[in-house]
Amino acid sequence: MRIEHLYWVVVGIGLLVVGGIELAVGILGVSRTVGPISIGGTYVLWRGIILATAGGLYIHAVLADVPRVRERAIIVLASGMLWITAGTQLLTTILGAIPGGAETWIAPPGAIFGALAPPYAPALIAILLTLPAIRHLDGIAVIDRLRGVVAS
Amino acid sequence: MDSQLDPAARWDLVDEIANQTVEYETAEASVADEIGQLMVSPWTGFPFAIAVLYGMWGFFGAVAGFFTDGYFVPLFDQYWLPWLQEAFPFEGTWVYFIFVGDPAATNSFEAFGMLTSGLFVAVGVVVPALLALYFILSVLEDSGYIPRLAVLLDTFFHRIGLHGFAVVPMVLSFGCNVPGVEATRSLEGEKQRFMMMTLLSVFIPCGAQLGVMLSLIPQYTGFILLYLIAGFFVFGAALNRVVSGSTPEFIVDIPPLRWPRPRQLGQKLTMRTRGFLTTGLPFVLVGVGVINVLYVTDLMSAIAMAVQPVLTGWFGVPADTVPALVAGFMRKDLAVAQLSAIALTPYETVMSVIMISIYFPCVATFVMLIKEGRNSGGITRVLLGSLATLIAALFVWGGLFHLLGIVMGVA
Repeated sequence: MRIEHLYWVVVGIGLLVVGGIELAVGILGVSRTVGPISIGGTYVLWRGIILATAGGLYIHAVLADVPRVRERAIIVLASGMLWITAGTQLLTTILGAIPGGAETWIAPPGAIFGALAPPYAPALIAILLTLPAIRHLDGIAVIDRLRGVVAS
Repeated sequence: MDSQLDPAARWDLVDEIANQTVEYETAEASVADEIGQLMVSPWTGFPFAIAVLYGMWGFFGAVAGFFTDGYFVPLFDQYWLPWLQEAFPFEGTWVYFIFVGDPAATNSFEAFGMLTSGLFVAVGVVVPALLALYFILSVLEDSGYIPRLAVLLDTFFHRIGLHGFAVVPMVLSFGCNVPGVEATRSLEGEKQRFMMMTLLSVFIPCGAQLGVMLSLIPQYTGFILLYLIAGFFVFGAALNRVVSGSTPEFIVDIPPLRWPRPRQLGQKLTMRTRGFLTTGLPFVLVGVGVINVLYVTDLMSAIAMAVQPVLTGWFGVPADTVPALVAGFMRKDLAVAQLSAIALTPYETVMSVIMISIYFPCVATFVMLIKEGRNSGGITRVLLGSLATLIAALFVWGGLFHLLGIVMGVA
């Protein structure tokens, strides 16, 4: 097994486990914070489904007998699911921190940046693990340019 | 070219020209092509669709909440409402009641005036929701994802006489029913538009209502949502048999996946928002005015008195829920919030929320039904048809839930 395949299998298993925990938390209606990771809140059930299925897709991509281009596409698709989930949570955190009420209207920078402090939802942490998938993306000017810079 | 050629000869000519001018070569599918295929394949398409819908609701909640709760609520409650209550003449008259509403109200929702609640709902609640939804819809359209989602879901919608593109108004309605009803104009045929408008306004709870439900009764929200979506498809199948008209076949050209261009997104957003501000906004304000006239003339309390025996007898909920149901005509999310202040059993809570969802569309959706009804078989047909459907849905679907409650021993 290639090292890249092993990487995606490990990430996939991790996401399956964390997604399963989020599902359980959503069904039981509880929330938990462990170190920098917080599991709970609105739509946690759906985030669990997304994380678990993304994990399943990573595993399927590398273990199933599919052409290389399809394998890359499945990895990008699963990563896209995580980027959407994490992006939404990041946006919710930032936009929720900006309004400062009727007196100040915009909260001080310290309060806005303070909202970005840990704990984080698992999808946000998983973003770091999906970064290798970027190399499978074609046709995005910024990434193509970066790829050219790295190659040179 | 000889215009007298028969069709076969004409096609031969086309083939000859094509053979001389078109070069064919085989090309390997790119990652983007494969992703496009994966999006319409059920095993990969449905998980991705869940992520997209999650992102859509999350974006809607974040942006609409940012503007409404972050800025419009304090702006209206702490500046506009107190100023208007002081400055508007004719206090104590019906003119004051219709335009400003309750002079002692401390927030714009409770005031119930055209220039207070009406303006707040239209500008402070609906416009941010529209901006967020129109933006995300434009991104999905321009990226080429919407046609793929339509293909993915076509089988389900075809069973109720609609086709895959019905997912657009449905998804929009989960954010706000107003753009959802407006988006039905993209459907083919009066039958499809009428059916979709009716089903949306009766069965699909808006994002604000869902948000309040998730924060106040999270343990029941999933169950309520499932019951409503089941009602959507059951009544959709029934309407498909009752309403005359054909169901057009679904043929769609799927474009390649593309990155949306900011300039085009901006143009679409401007065009759609301007369309609502110039045509939808006045309808909402007039709608609030009409409700106030019902209050002034005591017709609203007469309606509340009339429905009270039905509420307790047919649905098994206490008469205390009447004010919340009436408030639901203004904003369903706050109607659900009002319920949380009443001592109810779990069954009564779930039943009341289902009733708030299906008993009548909110005022903004109602006026949008009137507006869009003109292009979907006429205002009378749409309103009477929607009214008949919601009465049937309320009594059959609501009554069925009461029956389930009785059988399970909880009602």
